[in-house]
Amino acid sequence: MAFERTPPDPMRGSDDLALLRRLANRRPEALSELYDRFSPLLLAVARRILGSSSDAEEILQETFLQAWNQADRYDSGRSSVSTWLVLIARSRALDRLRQRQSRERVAAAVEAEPVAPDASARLDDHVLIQERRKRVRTALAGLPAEQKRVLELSFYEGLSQTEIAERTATPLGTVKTRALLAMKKLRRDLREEIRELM
Amino acid sequence: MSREHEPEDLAAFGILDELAHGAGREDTAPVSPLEGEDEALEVLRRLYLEGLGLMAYELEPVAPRPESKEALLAAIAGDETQEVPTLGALPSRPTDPGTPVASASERAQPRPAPAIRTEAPLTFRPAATPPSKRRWPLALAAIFALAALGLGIWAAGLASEVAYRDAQIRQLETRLAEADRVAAELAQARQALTQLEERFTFVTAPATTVYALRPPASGSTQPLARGHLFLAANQRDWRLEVRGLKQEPEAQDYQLWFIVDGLPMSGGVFDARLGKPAFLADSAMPAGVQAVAVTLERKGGVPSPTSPILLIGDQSVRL
Repeated sequence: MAFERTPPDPMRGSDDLALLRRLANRRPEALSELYDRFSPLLLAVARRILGSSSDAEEILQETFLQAWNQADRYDSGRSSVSTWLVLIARSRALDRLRQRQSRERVAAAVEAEPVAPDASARLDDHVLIQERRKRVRTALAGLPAEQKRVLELSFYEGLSQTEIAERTATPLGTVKTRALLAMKKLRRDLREEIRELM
Repeated sequence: MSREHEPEDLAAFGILDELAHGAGREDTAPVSPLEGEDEALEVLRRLYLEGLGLMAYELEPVAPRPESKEALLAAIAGDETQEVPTLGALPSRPTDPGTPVASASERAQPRPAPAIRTEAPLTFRPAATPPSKRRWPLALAAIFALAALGLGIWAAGLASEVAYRDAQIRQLETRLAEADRVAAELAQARQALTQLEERFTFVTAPATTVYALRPPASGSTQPLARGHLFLAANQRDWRLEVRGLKQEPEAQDYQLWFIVDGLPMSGGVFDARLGKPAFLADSAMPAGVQAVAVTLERKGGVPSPTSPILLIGDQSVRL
């Protein structure tokens, strides 16, 4: 695959925003570009939640269709494009998970299925995403295991704090404290990343 | 004692609630704003939301199948002005991998058009007027001019967008600094509250002995001063609290005395500030104290009192 070599764009948040504006104007090529840019990330989110590759790809389709239909409702003051899309994919995947009437984790299935390398991304996208991924992994690795677990249960399983307390047999106050500490540390450690998104 | 949540905590809990209640669903705003939401809270909420959104980048990116994109684009083809309601137009996935299924692009293909007739009937048309040879350079120039104008407008728009974002970031950073400052003030207030709670616990504990300190009956240069010395049940830990003493001269300190067997033993020196209580505490109350007194002495204290008694307490009460 030939990569289109362009310099990394430090203002990626603005870049995404411009893309979404074109999407709001019903430009199919904008959807195509948005898909190239975010589909590997969103598919990873869907697979993390659902495990099944086929279900995850359906969720990916639904996510981009929702983005296509609701781009004009996107509010850049409330969240970055990246976070907006991640939340849509997450929400749809969680709904699908609930439809199955089972919260059984399918991590084994994820591991069993080979993860295709993300060859569709442009080189600069690839580099940017890899750098961001490295920093995010470092930040998450810096969290105590029990704090990270609370965030994961909230983000990837959609559990409320009360449900997390029940699931982990931990007092609600402890769950809240862990969540707060984890979120504050993430906010500090990912300050630069957040700034780039905003 | 329960504590009030800081704005930072409220913002974080708000995000967690939104996540638990389906932020990102189609029938809701991406992340629904709260009515009358405080601006600082909104900034914090945004920071936390982005932080959580970044969690997704931890995952290994997964490339979707190429036909997935084709199917998506086929689904919206021709719908540039209408909402695409469902995924009905998308091809379903084959249940049996061995069964060939038409690709999305194949499904999206319009029906074949009728064969083009190769032998069209001959008709006569007036010959088209050839374009003037002088016009094309003008047209080309016009195209370039329009393109340059478009580029200029686009660049100006981009610059404006960047400036707007920069201003927004600076504003957010200012608010964040303000939030941090408020948090620091809150921490100080909490520390003061903790100290107050400790004092309260000490002075109200059962079996605490209290000496009431007043100016001596013979008269004092500071008749409005009052104080209490609290002695814990262990007869060792004590706290002195005095009000109404004038601020001492620069070269002097107030000194506390314990009277044991009629002899004064120094309990330490302290400062007084007008309108504020003075405190002194230690864990070494001598045994057999009959009375406590306060005098004004040389800075740092003296071995035995050299000036008139300002406050004295020779009666104690056990709580």
